[in-house]
Amino acid sequence: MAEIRFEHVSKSFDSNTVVNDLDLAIADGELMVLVGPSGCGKTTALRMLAGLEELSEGSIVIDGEVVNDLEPRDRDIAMVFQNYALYPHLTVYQNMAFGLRLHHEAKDEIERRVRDTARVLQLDELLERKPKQLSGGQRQRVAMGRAIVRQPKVFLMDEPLSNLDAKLRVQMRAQIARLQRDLSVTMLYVTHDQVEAMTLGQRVAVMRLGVLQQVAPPQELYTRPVNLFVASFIGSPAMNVVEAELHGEPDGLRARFGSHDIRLDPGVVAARPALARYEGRRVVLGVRPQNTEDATLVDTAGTDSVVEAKVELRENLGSEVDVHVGIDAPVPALDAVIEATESADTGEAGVAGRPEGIFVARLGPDTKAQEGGQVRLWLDPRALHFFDPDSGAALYE
Amino acid sequence: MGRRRGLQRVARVVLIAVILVWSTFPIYWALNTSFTTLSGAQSVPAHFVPSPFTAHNYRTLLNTSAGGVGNQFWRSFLNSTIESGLATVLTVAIALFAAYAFARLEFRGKRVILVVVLATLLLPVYATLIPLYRIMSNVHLVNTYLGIVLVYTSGFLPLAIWIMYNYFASVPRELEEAAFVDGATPVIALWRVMIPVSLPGIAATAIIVFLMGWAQFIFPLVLSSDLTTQPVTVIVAALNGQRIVPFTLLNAIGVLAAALPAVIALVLNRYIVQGVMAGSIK
Amino acid sequence: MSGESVSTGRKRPRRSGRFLPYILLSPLVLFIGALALYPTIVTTVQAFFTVNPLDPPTRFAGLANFRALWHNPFVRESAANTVLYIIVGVGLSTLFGLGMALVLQRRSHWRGVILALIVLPWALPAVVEAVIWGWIYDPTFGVLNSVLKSLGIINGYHVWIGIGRVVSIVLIELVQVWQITPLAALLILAALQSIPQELYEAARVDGAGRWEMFRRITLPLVRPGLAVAMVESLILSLNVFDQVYVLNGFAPGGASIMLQTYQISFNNLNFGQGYALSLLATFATMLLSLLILAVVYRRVEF
Repeated sequence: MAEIRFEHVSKSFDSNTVVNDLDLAIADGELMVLVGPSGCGKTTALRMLAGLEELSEGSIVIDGEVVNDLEPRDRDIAMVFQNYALYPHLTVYQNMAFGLRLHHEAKDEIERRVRDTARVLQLDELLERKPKQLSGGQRQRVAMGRAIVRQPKVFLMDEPLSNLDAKLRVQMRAQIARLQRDLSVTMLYVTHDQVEAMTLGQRVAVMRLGVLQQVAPPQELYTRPVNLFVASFIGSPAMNVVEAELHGEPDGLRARFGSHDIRLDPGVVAARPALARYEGRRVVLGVRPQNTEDATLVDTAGTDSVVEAKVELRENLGSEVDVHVGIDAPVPALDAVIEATESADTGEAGVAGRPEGIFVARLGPDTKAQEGGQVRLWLDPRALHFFDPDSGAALYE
Repeated sequence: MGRRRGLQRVARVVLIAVILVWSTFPIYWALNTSFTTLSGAQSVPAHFVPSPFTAHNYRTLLNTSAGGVGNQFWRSFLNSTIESGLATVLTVAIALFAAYAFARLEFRGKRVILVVVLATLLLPVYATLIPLYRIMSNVHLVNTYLGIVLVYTSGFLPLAIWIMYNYFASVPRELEEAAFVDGATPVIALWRVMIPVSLPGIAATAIIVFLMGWAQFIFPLVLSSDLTTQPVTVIVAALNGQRIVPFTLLNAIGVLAAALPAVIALVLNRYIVQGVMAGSIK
Repeated sequence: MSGESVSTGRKRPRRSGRFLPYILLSPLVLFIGALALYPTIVTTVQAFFTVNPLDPPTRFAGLANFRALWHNPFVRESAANTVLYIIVGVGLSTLFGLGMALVLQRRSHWRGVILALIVLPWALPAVVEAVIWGWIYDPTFGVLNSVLKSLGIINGYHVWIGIGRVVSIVLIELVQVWQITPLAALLILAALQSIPQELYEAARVDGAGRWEMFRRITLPLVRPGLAVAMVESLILSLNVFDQVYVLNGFAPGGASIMLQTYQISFNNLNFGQGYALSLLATFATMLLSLLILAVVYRRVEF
């Protein structure tokens, strides 16, 4: 049993609080991903779990035992570092055997484990080479092999894939997931890439400026983000957000932003009692690019959520078309949104630093929308998100 | 454009040739003078190739009968080697652990101690020469290997620490952290990871310190009174000043005295250069 | 519970082995304390005492030592000589060193060999070099005279060292320059190599010629390296002893401060004055070093 608990863990460097009252539980055998923009405290949290950083407050519990005062070597953990940290003066075999030798394992046991792991990771041809003779991907596998061979209770990964090229990253991601399943070992995986988080994690913990925002399975983060930051950080291209005013009409609750006025889905309104309290007030309205469509391509019967907008940019993705349209409504200038969109690392349709009043819509490939022209954009009312305009908290209950 | 390029290349080659001649001429000339007879060396105009050629001077030096020049030379050569060698071992050993402490460990007073140690680099020789002599005199260590080695070590430590500190500081912290996670204590991490990875830096330090030890003059001049401990530098200066020995023989002595450092400098050049340049990172 | 708050990034204060740093440092502290700091303190303090086996006991003397030094014509002369040693030493070694470094900057398969030969003079004992150069300068048998006469530059054989003061000093210092230029070259080379190539490439695109690139990019950005090289040369030339001793003995016309200190202390046995002179020279070194750093050094960040 290797259950991990962070209990009221805080870490400060001088007056700078890097991790703020973190409470997080990781179940035995679970793959938990810790994700957030740089500086959010995720790496510090990982290092505190590893014992490489001392806690300012709180405790970390592994398997029911408080480990605050234990040295890394006594915690039965293994770690894969961002830059691999392979011992340059040792061969691949010796790198992987290093930890085992320090724990005084029998020679044939060491041999067996190293060779078995090398086979799984396809390193058997490379065992006699030194790290500088290896490619980036090979080094990464050696780093993983070194950790696996130790058969630890807990696996720690500090952005292990960030130095690899895109294609290799996808391959290794799958291999890591498979490995974790096969070994059913508890794993804490840190990354700044939300795509990695979403694809790998059984549960994902989103952090920002040292504070845990939300812990949930990936799908839940996507459909029920707990605040504006999580909503903007998860998903790519990032969610479109705009300031709107809710007003009650005979046909139901409506949202007005700029020159547009759409009707909210009654089912959604019923499922979110909090919305009723915001009638007549400002809210932040969010809709993901994937939840929009060219009005001419869908059956919009029964809904009233089409907006007319001018197309500023059209990007052809092959299976879809991303369109940037001008929405004449104020975009909330909350730090949360700016930070989330700036740090999202997707390489897909322009996310970072989105200018004010621009919506990104992901349309079907048959759309006739052209740059400079107008488009009638349908916003799926069942997929709208609402947030408090001052706190950024999502509105549900 | 082609002509300008060509002219630049020629200028460059000429410049390199001048630098090389400047660097090697005196040594070449000493060799030239040492392999000939007195009359051959005194000829006008000067011979640029030894003629007549003879190894007589070197044969003389191989004669180690008591009281002879050969005896004096080789005894001092032995002294130099022992004194430099021991000082190098001692300096490197102490500097290694100290530099590791400075580079990797946190403790009270670290900055102060480091600054003080490095400040002694700026101390000119005289700040310590006389008192050191009187200290050694009081503990009866004058004219002993131990006394000289201790004095050398204290003088070389700041530089050795500076070079090794820079080397250690440039090793990524993650390497040791990986070792800690793998099960190493700080001492094991130092021994099995830090040191092997820093071997070039350690080698550079050792070589530079050894060469500095070999070149010492004023300290042994003060601290050694006879052939028991006098190094090669003192003997060469003495023989030169006495003007008894013919100057062709003197040049041969100079050549032999320079031989060991020269071989080290030529063969292990890479480490020296790395060490000096790493040490210049401010 | 709280751990130590560390202000320097991700360093980890040791919980166990809290004494480890002190154990590792104790030999160093012992050596430096006993054999570097203590002697320095002794020198500083006893400069104000009369310390002379020929004139016991050791007693407080205030500024008497310093006054005696000031009135001593040999001391004043050696100070003037040393100024010239410094000018020649720092000037030539920096100039030649810069030239060498510029040449060494370009990669080629000859570079290793060239580097090895350039560094050779630095590795050899100064005394041995002085002996060898002494025979080159020798009035009767030296190759300098021989070559200069053959080239028609001089009529008869000259005595180079011991007659003219300035000539003697320049030639003696030349031997030290021969030794320390490689060090200056390496220090400057390190600074040169830290200048990013992109700066030169951008300048080339902008149309700068080689001389302009040198003046506007290289020279300003190599200043930290130049400053360090100059300070090193300053310390070495201010301390010059071996070459002076071998080539000129204790003759006043060419004596350096270091030589004078040795003379006063070990030949005249007047340790008190020796301390005083040492102290003055130490101050001069520090002052001049700071001066060079203030004028030449520029903090450069890329």
